[in-house]
Amino acid sequence: MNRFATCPPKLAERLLVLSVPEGKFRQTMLGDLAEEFDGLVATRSRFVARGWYWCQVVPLMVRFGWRRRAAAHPIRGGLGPVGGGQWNPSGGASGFVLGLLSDLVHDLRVAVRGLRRTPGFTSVAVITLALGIGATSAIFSVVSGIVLRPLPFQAPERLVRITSTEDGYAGDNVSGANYVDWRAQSESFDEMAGYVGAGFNVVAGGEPRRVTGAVVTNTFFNVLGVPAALGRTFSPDRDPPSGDRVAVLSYGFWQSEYAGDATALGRQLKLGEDQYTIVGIMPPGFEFPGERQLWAAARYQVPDPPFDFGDDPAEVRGAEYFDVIGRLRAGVDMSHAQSEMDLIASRLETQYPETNAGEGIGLVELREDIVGSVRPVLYVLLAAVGFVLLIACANVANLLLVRAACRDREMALRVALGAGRRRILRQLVTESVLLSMIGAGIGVALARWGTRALFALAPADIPRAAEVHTDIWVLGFTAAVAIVTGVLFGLAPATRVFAGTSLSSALVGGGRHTGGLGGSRLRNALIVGEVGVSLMLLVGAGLMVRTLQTLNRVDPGFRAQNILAAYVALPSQKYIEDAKVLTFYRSVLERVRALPGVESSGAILSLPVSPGINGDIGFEIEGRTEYEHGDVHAGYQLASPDYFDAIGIPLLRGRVFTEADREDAPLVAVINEALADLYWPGEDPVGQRVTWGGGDDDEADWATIVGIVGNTRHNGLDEEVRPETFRPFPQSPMPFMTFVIRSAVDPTDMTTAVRQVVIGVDSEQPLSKVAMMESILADSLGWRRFNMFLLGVFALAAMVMAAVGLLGVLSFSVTQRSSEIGIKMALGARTGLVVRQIVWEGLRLSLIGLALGGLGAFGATRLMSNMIYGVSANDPLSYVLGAALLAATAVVATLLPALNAARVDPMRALQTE
Amino acid sequence: MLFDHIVNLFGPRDMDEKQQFLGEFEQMVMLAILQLDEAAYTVPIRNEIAARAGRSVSRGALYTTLERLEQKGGLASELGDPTPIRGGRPKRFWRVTREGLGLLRRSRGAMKELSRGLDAVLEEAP
Repeated sequence: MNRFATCPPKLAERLLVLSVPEGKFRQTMLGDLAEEFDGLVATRSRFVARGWYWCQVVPLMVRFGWRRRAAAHPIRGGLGPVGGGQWNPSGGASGFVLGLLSDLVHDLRVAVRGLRRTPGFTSVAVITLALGIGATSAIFSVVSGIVLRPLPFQAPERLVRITSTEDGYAGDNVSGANYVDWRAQSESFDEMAGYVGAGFNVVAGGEPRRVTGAVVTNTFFNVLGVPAALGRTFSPDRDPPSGDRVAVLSYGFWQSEYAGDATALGRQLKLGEDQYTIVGIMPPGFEFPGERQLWAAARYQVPDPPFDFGDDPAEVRGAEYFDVIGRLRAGVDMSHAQSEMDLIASRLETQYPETNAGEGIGLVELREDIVGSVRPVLYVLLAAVGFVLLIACANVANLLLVRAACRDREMALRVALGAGRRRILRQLVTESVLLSMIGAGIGVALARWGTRALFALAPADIPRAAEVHTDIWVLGFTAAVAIVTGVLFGLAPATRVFAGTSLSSALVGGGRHTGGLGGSRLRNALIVGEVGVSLMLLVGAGLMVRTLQTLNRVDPGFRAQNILAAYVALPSQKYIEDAKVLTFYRSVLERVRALPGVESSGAILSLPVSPGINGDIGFEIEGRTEYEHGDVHAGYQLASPDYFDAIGIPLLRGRVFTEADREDAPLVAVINEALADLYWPGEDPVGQRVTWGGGDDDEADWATIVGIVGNTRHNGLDEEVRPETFRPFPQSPMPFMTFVIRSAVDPTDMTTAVRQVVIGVDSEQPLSKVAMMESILADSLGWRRFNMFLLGVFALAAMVMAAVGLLGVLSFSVTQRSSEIGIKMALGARTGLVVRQIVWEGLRLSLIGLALGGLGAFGATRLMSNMIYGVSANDPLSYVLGAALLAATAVVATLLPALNAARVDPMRALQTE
Repeated sequence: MLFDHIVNLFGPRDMDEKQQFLGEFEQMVMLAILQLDEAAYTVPIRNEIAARAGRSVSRGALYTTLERLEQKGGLASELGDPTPIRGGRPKRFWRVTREGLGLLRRSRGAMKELSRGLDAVLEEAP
């Protein structure tokens, strides 16, 4: 066994050495502990042994630390902690520390005793805090893992994403020739790399399946600076373009396909039609770009294009299809690099006006590029959960205030016996920090569970999900939150100590003292705050609900019910001839149509509302040279004749494609309404001709528009409708299409049948991205639903806590004033009046809270502007409903204490006076 | 722990040696050492008391008691060889001195004297 692994915890040993006086016992003690620890490791487990060790050390520290201090200062030590904490000359610096430590231990003991005496109070407080702290640290661990932690690459601050920009729009892909020029001409970068996401068909060992990977340049891993866990990564020297085909596997893929066998290195792996040699395994957790199962080295100087250009893609400037990252030279800052790239861009613009006009180069920090889009959402959630924590603190502070009011006598006694106010203050804060620490302990457990739950709910495209775990930062954050909250609400009752509770009145009052004006004012302020913050959360949640409502009402342009979608990508080497591709798709469609239950089925290049190819392509309209709307771009789609019928896009004019629109027939096109309105407003586009061919005079490139179909929300329900052109797929076939199958029965049952059909046509061909259209639609709202759910949960928790707080404060106030109420009733006040008075007391606080919360929400919802859709941040309905809900809750919360007040028996109330 | 405090505060620390008696726990410790003979160091002593007397002994209490008994002259100790399992620290072996044996006898004798004639009360019912 590893010797180090069986050593007792070092920190515990060191603490023990610190607290036990030097002498013959220290070594013996340490030896005994080590021996028994060793025995426990052997018989139980290391974990148990470590826990046991700490349990042994703590009492020894208390006992001997105490003795050591007592020896240094016999009188104080003998009498116990009256003063404490002062610097002790004879004890030296460590004596001082130990003094503080033993005072702390004493305070803790007293606190534990106090908390155990009031189990009801303790459990309510601990549960409240555990929920508040747990939720906060769950959200924080997500924020920390995704947003705060540096990317897991070498010197990640020097990594940048480099994009083409067009007319100021960033984020475009890069073409081979441009990349080669950038790389050659720039001085600001150590190295650049290109990569493109790619799917591969894997046939070996069982059913054909599709794995997601990336084709990357041989500089890719150098730029990221991540070495392989096993074997090697790519390097420019060993893997020149057109060298052997090599691949690096992800750790997960290596585990699942090769069961973690090291001999996988050097083996051949057939991806599509190519044999690759496996040269390396990446460490677990390496994810870039996104989650990938393998990385293949490009066969060119740039990543392989998704389909064959016929030329070396490194010389093609027009086709932009891959992404670029670069590592800044040490000491070069972004602005310097940006100005250099601007220079290069303008040079290329003059050199190649045809392809590069209006094209710039954009730089963005890689971390910003990866997490920039989720950051605002996560920050809003963190703020929201922070508010919940504040409410939890306010509630516990309230509980403590009530408790303090009951402990006036105890405090007064302590003061009378000579305890300094500072000493009492420390005792109170120790108590509350202890409470919040216990809460935090349970909270951390809740957070681990909660983080898992969060990811079950979270949309699948959340970046860096694998990096989220409870690490030292999360624990540190939780501990800090616990201490800060503990001190915060611990100070609330402490204010009473400073408010100068009169000794005699406290002693005479016999513990039924009225809490004092200061105390009740603070309690009321806390309630006002709780109600206000609850309203802010409710308004936020309301806005999200309204957003989703709006989005659910948005017409996607098709009917998503009972549709199964499945993606097929044919390996381009195997399907090099168009005829082969067409035969494949035609036979699959034909056989699928014959399956029982299938109503109609079609194929489309790019499925609406799903991430995939969203290529916009320029086109020309016959007879026009100038266009009102600038550049003529539109979505480019290939569709089979039955696609429109299968997915439920309505035909508005003319016709859709038929089987007669074959590869050898005259070219035709269908456009959507948006395109028709844009370029033929008030005219009939049917019969007009368009071309995508780049404007040659070649007569054969012109396609006649034969029909207009309805719009779809192609890029998502919350995005504008885009103009689209459709071509019949035989007239320009592509080796990747998505099948859309509408069935009369539940289409999930069809998955196996469809898979069988595809395998029947080509036994090596996998299906991928098999999903119900309805769930694709639902997933496209994943983030919004996630936000709504979390904000909703937080708002609900806040509201319940605020209600409990209100209930508690009013109940206490009723108990404190029972004699006053009794006298009133004895003097003839009606029950109704008493009830009204108490309810009004609670409502007054709630109304102030609502007013302040409304103002707060007005400011805070500004942060949500890009989370909401189709609803104003000042949406009156959200405000009114939120306020009404809270007001109703407040009334309910006040009724119980009010009715209790009405039941006060005047006689008994007066007797106790 | 509480017991130990009481012993610390009110224990027969400054009494004349002739009048010294051993506390209950001190007697237990000494008896355990006698039982263990050569092998008497802290770990087995604790185990012995736990096994025979059914009493789980606080580690700290044992160390302080051993130290006190050594100061009284009732016990003597010497170091064994360091062992790797103890992190290179030696065991401290304890043995009961002649004075110690005397103390133990006196204490037990006193108890016996005081118990005389109380068999009916002290004996467990069959």
